[in-house]
Amino acid sequence: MAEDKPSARGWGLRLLAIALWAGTSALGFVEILVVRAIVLRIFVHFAGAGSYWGGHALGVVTAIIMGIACVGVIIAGGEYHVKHFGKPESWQLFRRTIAVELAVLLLGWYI
Amino acid sequence: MQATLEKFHRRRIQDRAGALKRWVALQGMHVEDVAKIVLVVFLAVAAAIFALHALLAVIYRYPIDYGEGPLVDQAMRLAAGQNIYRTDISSPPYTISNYPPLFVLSLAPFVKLFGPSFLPGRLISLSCTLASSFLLARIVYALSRDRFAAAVSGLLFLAVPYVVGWSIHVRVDMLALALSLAGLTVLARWPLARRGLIVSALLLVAAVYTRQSYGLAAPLAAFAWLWTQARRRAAALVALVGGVGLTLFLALNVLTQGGFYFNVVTANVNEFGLERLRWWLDGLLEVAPILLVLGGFYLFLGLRQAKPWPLLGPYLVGACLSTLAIGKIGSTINYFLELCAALSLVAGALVARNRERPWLRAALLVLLASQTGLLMRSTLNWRVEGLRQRVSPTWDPQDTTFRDLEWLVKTADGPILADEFMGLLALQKVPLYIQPFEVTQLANDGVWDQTPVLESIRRHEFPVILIHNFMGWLGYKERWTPEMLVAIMEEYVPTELLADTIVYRPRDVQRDGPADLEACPGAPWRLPTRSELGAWWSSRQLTFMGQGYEYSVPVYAVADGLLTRGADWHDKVAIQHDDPLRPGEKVWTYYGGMASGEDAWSFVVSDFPPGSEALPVRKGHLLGYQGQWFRKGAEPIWVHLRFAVLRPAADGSFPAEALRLMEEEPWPGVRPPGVLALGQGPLEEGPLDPSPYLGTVGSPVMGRRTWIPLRCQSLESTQGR
Repeated sequence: MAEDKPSARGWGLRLLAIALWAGTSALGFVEILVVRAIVLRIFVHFAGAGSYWGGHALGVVTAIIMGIACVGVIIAGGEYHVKHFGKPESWQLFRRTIAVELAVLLLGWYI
Repeated sequence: MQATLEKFHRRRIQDRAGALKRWVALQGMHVEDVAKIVLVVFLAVAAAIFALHALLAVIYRYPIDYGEGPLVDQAMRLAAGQNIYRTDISSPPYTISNYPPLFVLSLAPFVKLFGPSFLPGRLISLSCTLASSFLLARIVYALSRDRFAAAVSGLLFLAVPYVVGWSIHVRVDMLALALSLAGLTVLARWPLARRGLIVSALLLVAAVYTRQSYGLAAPLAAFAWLWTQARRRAAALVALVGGVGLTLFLALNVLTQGGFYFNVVTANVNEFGLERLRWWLDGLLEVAPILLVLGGFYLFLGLRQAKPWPLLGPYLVGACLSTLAIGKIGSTINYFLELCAALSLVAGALVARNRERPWLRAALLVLLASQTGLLMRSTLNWRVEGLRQRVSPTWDPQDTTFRDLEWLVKTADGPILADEFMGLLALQKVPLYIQPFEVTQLANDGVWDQTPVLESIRRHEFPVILIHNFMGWLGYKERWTPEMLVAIMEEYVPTELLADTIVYRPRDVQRDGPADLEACPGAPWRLPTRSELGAWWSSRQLTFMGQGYEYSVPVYAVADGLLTRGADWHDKVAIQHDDPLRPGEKVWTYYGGMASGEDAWSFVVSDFPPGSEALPVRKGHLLGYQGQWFRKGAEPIWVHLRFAVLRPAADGSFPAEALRLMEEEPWPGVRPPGVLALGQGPLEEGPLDPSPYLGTVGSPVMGRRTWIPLRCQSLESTQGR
């Protein structure tokens, strides 16, 4: 039984995984707004400032889609990390999630 | 013992260093993975912007660019079996076919089958852009076997604003680029195959016979590449390209009795300006600084690299050289396309080259992601905005501007002179009468005699003349000779403004007065300035738009009075007069916009320095010159004078509050709903209607921004009787 008890390194890795999951989840929520802003900015360039209701509708739809995606990523991601904790796949998923979130944040700055 | 211990320690240190090295390399791979994803997200968004832009443009019915109309017109003439390379242009149509015939030939069957339309030409250009992107990826893959680097090269090309903008024009460039890249792809893939050599040579010749400037970069690269592989093949390629090209040239020249050479060579030797070249290159540096640095780095360091340099290096050098031709008058972003393709290739090659150096490759990918961000920003702010404004100039979804212009063309009783929108003539199956830019350059070089056109203008043979005015750029000065403009201003009068195009109709002196009208007959005041391009009403301000560059159209005092110029008035003055309509009262006139558009260099004459108060001026006193200044933080507008008549403040001084409201009025945007214009609502301090003072015809829709021809009340009433 005593062998199942995680070592200090194991606890550290668990804490790290939880922190990464919580951090990427929180950032995911922030990115709902960032993606919505990006989509609206692109829309305004194409459609002009006169298309108020079109932009409004697009903003709502984007927020809903992003919200669903975000909740999906949090739950499905959480499940995945629990299942594959400590394995390379889990760390790879963290890496890729962070990369996409970073890309979205940077995009928001450029567009 | 001591030696063994030292050896043990040394090995331990080495092991640790090795482990650290491995750890750093592993982290490098992870960082590279992150950088890859960031770049892929950026490129995907850029590709989406490209697709949306293409969709918006391809389905658009009307011309997007000056050069589209002539190509559709040439396709119509070719489909009708006419010669498009005339030697003699002393009689109408005064048209020039600037390019070799391949693109027009590809367009002609569609015109023959479906009638004139921009759709087939735009689809050809769009397909060729996508093909070019694919071919760039193919070249990088053939040279490196790196799929990711190949994809980066192809997608980066689609992110460049010049490519986005030009991909949907009915223009020759994208077909030429695709053909030349296809030639290079064949050689990169099968450098030693005889069939590859022949196919490649034919593709390169086809590119040259689509656009003549494609005879430099791609053939040079193909030659240099083959030279490193098999010198005999390089010589064979030169012989093939030169032989086929020359034979075709001679054949076309004989068939057209020298017309081909005249149109494709003589008519393309235009004035070159270093300032113009610098302006375009500055723009390029702003849009693609990282790609340019990488390109320079590649040229400098690439010599050490064995495989792809002999192909990419000369291609980049050749593309840089052909880009320099952008200094020619009338040149535009299409001169950057080959360079953009070369820079995309170099970016892909560098990504591939650093495959074994994950940290370096990650840094490169981050740089390319930043570059993609800059490219997207530029695409949205410049190309997409430009297209949207072209498609809907008034920001109104129900906009009928182009239908109105089309109706004008359709119902005109005689030939029409047009510049930017001559494509509307082609749409109506009306053959072009003139390509103003091309013949203007020939006239400037003394190659073409414009007298017959001038005589036709003076005889009012054209029921309508359409001259486009770009904000902040007097493009019409390049497109029409000074003599033509003088004849048009004297014999025609501006009557409407549609999609930034001024519609001129023959002047009726009885109704419109002479061209050099200084004052309306019987009016209390003289006119403050010239207004050849018409006038614009905005909340009872009259904006006079004179013909000319900044600091060339004089502004005068309309009557005797006392001039005031506030300490911070860099572009304006105001004059207090005795009110001729309300004896015993005072009234102010306001003259604004007399400064340069960008840097606000004042055009007010030095007699009236800032801080001047109550300086006496006489009627006709020179106050300054028209400028493009609008207001701080706003884009420059056309060369103009903003003129208004204002009631004095309670103490008789200049009404500063009215000036503030007037200057804050949205322009040229749309007023938010529910906000009244000055003079529309109960604003007592609003400007007065200047018409009774100047004797001009007022705006029928007072308080809204309306463009009107400047006409005199007295002349209109004379005609009415």
